[in-house]
Amino acid sequence: MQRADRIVAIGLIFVSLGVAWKSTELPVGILPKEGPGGGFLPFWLSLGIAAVALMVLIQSLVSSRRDKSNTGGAGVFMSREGLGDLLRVGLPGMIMILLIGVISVYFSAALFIFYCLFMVGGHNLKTSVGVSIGVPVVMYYIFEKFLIIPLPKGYAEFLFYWN
Amino acid sequence: MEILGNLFYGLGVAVSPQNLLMALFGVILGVAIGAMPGLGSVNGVAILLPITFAVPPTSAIIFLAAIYYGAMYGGAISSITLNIPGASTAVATTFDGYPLARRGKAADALVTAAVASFIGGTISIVLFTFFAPPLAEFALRFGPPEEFAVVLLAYATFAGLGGESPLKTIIATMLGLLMSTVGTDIVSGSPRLIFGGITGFYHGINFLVLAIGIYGVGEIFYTLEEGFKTKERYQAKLGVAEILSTLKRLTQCTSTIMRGSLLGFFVGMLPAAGATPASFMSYSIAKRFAKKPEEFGKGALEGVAAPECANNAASTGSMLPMLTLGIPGSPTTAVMLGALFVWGLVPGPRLFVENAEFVWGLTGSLYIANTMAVIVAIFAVPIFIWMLRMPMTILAPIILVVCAVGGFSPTQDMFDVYLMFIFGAVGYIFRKLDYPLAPMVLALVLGGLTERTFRQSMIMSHGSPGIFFDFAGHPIAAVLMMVSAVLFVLPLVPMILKFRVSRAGTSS
Repeated sequence: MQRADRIVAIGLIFVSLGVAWKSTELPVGILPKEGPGGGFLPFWLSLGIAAVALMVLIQSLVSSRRDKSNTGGAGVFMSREGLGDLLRVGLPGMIMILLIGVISVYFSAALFIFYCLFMVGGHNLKTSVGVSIGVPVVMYYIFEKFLIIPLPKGYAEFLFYWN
Repeated sequence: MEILGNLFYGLGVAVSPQNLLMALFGVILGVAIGAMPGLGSVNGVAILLPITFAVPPTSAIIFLAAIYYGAMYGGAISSITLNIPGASTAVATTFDGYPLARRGKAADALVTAAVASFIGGTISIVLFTFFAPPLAEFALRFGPPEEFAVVLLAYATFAGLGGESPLKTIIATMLGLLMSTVGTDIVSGSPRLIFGGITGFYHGINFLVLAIGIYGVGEIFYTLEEGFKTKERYQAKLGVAEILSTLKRLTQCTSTIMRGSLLGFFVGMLPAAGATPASFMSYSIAKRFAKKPEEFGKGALEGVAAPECANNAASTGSMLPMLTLGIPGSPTTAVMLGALFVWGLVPGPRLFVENAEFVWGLTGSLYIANTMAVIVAIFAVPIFIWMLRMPMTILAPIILVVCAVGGFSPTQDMFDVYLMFIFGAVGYIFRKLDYPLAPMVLALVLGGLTERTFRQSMIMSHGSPGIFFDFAGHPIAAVLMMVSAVLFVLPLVPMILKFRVSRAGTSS
């Protein structure tokens, strides 16, 4: 837990310094008769984040030296089984999102829901197929037909030309 | 007395069969749209606007007002059941609504939300009926310095809501503000922080992308890690007895609801402020006044009642400047204002004289729509309870798909869906490390408004910050600044007192 805390603090310092550097593309100072320039807020905010993150890092280092038995927070950041469950659904979830732009949100959702129900959840084939077809169909009617909000269809666009 | 006569006339217009039917349809559609993540009242009103051109203006505005109300109720539903705010106005409802649902008290939370919304709506409709024109005059005196002071007040009321570590609260707030600066610099118009021309950053980071990411996707990650297969969804009970006992417990929240409703109405009335800051402010004020503030965030009924009464009150409040002055108080009323012009009506004081049927018909229908919305919302509760009883192995993938669609629909940009997923992962890590997420969302919601009003004020004053403390020129701003200063300092007072007492104790 403590290690994760430090890694995030160090990450925050680097990211915010990077953002501060990007902010200097616009004036970061106070312009006469106009107040702060366009880069003022992001520049000082990101420097502020870097400074406070450094304080978090120092706090974490000092507290561990003072008390060796204190591992900070509730022990481990993530258990091995927890990580396994997370990756088994999280990674396919990421693939589902990447596929939205390729095979349309409807097919991507159907595949993902089927995978989760049948392969991970252990539901029977009937339920898995039913839910994975039912959800995209309901979504299609709500968004495309009723609300007239076209959802992304990627290369599968031509399949939706029938109406 | 003239007002009462007008009101009865208005109620007469509103209860005509056609208008009643419009109100009922509007409320049902509104609840459904509001409950969908990513879609709020503004989408509902905008999407269904064309339908209104087929009916007389009075029926049309009744329909739109009913959608507006319905969406306000609906937004709370997904906040409570799924921890995904249906709209920005319902973000504060997740803080206590979802913990209640996890404890098997989703029905309590949903009923509380509906009843609090009803009371908030009713109080502000009464205020609307009796004080519309003078209040509109008052709201007109709000310029950039006053708006900035109101925003600062929102931050001030929220200052005490952080987690265990003050440093991490500061980081979270600053990260939210930093995200709000991505996009276009409002004064010079040049692109800012777009990281070498990433097109998705040009339109800025929509706060719904962050909210759905950290609350929706992040929550799923959290549940997955706790054990995906073994975990049954929490028990959710519902019956007449449960509803009655919730109503009884709600009587203890009377003062919270009254405060939230009045606050919501006044904040909603101000141009540019609207229901979202109102709901946040109401939540944090309720926490400050609460007898057991430590219960907030863990499932306090008051924590659901406070933002819900305020956001409904604010939605009525924001209609006031739209009708009397032609200045919309929220994005939704801006769309409605457009509709007024299409129908050939000119908003302003003369609207009340020349189109009395329209104005009083609308006022009357607000009462009807509000009553209808609470009934529809309570009848809808069993449907959502049934949904909650589904096993997690079915619910989780569906929620992830819904999140993806919710991230896409506000901006219609796939980039936002990717961003939402990243926010989900980052939010999940942050939550594990005790970084509070609520201040981050609040800062992103209010960030744009904060910077715009501040810089406009500075341009007005030629770069002098004195404009915020000018009691002669901007008395409202100056008073509000003083109030927020007091609120920022207030949490420190007990600490100082304790320090002095302990010192006095050691010296004697």
